[in-house]
Amino acid sequence: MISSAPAIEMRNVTRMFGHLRAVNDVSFSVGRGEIVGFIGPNGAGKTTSMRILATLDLPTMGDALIDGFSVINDPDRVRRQLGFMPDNYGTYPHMNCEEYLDFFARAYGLLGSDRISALRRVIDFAHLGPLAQKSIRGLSKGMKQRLCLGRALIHDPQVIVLDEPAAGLDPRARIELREMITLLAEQGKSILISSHILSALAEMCHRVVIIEAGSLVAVGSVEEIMASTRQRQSPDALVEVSVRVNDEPEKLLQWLDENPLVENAQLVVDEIRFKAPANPEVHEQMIKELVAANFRISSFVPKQQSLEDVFVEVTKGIVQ
Amino acid sequence: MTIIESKSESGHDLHLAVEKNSRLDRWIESVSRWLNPILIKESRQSLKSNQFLVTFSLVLAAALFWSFFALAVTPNISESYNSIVLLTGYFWILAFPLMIIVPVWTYWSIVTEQDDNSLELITLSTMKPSQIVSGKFVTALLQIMIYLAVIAPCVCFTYFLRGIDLGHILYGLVFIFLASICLNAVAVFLATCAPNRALQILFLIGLVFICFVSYIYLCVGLSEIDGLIDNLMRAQVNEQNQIQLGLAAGCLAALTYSMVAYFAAVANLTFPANNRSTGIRVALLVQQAIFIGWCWAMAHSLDWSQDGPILMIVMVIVASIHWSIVGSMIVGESGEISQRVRRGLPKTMFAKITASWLMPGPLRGFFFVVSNIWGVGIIAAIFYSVNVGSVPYSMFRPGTADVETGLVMIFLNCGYATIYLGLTSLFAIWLRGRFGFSIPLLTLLWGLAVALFLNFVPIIVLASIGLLNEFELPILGLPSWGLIVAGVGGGRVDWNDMTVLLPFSLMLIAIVVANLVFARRELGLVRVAAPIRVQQEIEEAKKLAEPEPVDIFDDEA
Repeated sequence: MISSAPAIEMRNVTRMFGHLRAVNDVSFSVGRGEIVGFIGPNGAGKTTSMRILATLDLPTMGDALIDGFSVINDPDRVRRQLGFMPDNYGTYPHMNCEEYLDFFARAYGLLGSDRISALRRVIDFAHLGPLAQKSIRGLSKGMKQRLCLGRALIHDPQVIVLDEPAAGLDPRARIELREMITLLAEQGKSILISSHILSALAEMCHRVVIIEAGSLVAVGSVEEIMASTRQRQSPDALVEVSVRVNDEPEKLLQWLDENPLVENAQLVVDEIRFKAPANPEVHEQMIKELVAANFRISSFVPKQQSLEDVFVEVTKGIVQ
Repeated sequence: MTIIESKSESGHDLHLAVEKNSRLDRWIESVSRWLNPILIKESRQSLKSNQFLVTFSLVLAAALFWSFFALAVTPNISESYNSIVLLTGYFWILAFPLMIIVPVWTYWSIVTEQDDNSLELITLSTMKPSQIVSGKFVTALLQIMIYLAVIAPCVCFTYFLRGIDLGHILYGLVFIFLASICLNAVAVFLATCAPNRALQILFLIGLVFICFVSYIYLCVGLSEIDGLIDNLMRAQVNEQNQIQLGLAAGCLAALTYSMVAYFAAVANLTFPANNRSTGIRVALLVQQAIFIGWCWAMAHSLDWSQDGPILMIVMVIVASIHWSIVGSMIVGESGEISQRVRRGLPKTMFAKITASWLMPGPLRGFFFVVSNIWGVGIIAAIFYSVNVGSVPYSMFRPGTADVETGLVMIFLNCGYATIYLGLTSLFAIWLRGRFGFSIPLLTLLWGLAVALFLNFVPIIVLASIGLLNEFELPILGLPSWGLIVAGVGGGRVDWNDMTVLLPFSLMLIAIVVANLVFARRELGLVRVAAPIRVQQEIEEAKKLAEPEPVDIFDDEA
């Protein structure tokens, strides 16, 4: 029976190291089958929060629940439900990949045919087939990441916490990792993932949690956070707009230079870029004026905010 | 082992060596499910390491070299009485890996896994901390067996030589084996106590020192094994028992402290909110029972009228010292009683009174230790008072045999240990109140300081009543003796003169009551119910375990 509790729930978690509040009253939850990105600058408290979720550390105050089980009071039950991939992990250089996974399968109490089918599933999922008999000592960073992901999945956990799984991976390996994570979510697993590669997170995450200096800064889908940052923006905030016209771009450049709302207009190859107020109503008005001035516009594109922009917008660069 | 190659869904060839199809492979697979995963991992990893290969080769080479060397210098060795030297040489060679290499390897293996976070990954699995620690232990045992197998042919060969019998060989092997087990227990315990690099290196140096000293001490002792066997052979049956009990005392002390170290290592790896204390306390209880049993056996083998009462007093003194040290650490436990622990608290009043002392909590720990101290005291007092009538002399002053002196001595010893511990417990309470935590090592240091300070009290008492000339150096180590001397002024207890006892007893009661007052809150904690989610899971597990009901009247069923 699947419980109705959220897959992951942080309840006012605070973790102090001496006088330093590494995590400060953080609360958020991750639903079932959801991928949530956990982002923040270095030292923001991501790893500490994830270690608390993984039952490797205890909160000073508050509690965290995995599938309704408290990480403080029921760590053994949490561990059965959770697959954790830390950012820094050791492997056993004298073993090969299959022996490594076999050891963890045994450590999770998988025996006989269950163990063999778990190994098959994981080796197949993480594309470790060609590496199965290879010594861990000779594996590249990307291969080791796949092996560690396989280890985290060996007991088929319903909740997965991944701390910087894409760090040090080449683009192909990152794409493969993204596909694997999406696939896991499609299987109904709940995933909390931290990464500094925000473009990749934006593509696969249903929601993001932004943390800075131990405190929660924003929680929600990328669009929701973007909307809230737009609302917070002052009416004078500017956005870059790219316009293409079918003929006479110089004439348009001159027109834009004379427009009091436009700043820094310049011709870049075959399009004109300028800064204008971020307000969509201003853009609408501008298009009407351009059409009225007989410019044949083929495109008018205000630059969309990316997750990077949102991140820069909501964080202040505070380092503890 | 057959490697099956098959195409996976992703098109890769899977070479799963774990899939076996021969009967032997299937048998090995079915056996391996009972083995500790750590043992399997270490067999795959450590036994392939250069360290093992080098040590194994060196032991083999040393054994061969020693054999050829001994044969070369003693051509007629089979007839020579010097053959014992050959055997002790093998003991020196065997003891080196067993008492130095294996414990240091065990320590280093845990420390390395802690450093590269792979131990964390293991603790995240469903393996219990006891499985992790015993896995390391069993791996050490496997290495011990391998080294034993290397040297076994050489040792067996010595059996055919003059002057060597099974006793020589077995005693030597058993002592080396036990010493190795104990050193491995120390290694595991130290490794789980070292959270950072500086402490890890410090403990490593300490461990190497302990191992090396033990190695030299044991091997020099084994060089005298001929004398030991000789004494055993020539002794009367009663004396033989006493020698064997003496040897057993060393072995039992080493083994039981290893058991406590094992449970302490398990506690170190246990999640903080879980119950870390009961295992250690049960191990201490078992140790106490073994100790009392040994004293009882020793008392039986001795001439009771001569040595029995002294043995009872010694039992109380040893127990008091042991519990003072162990208790100082127990009262330094964390004062936080987690919800998880509270789920396991006893329900009934009877269970609270009898079993609650084994549950975590520093003040529960205080009363656990105090009950053990007084438990030993009461047993000793009963044995003493029943049998002392036949004692022709006092153990303190010749010609002054009496029941009271012994009983007072027992009372003072237990009282002293309780006072030390009570003061240490009050210090730990203050620490927790002031700083929010207490550390067993800190309370141990405090306990030792308190003991050192209070051991001077009898001297002050002696000086104040003008009996300083009665002072003897052992009084510093055994203050109860000092109080006896001060109280009786000549070695014989006269209850009317025992003015020292009154303030002593009042102080004892005050300290225990003070602890009881502070323990009120801890002892008042009640059992809490498991959270609903946990109850749900237990119900689900029960349902899964129960067979589906079958309707016997349903034809289709």
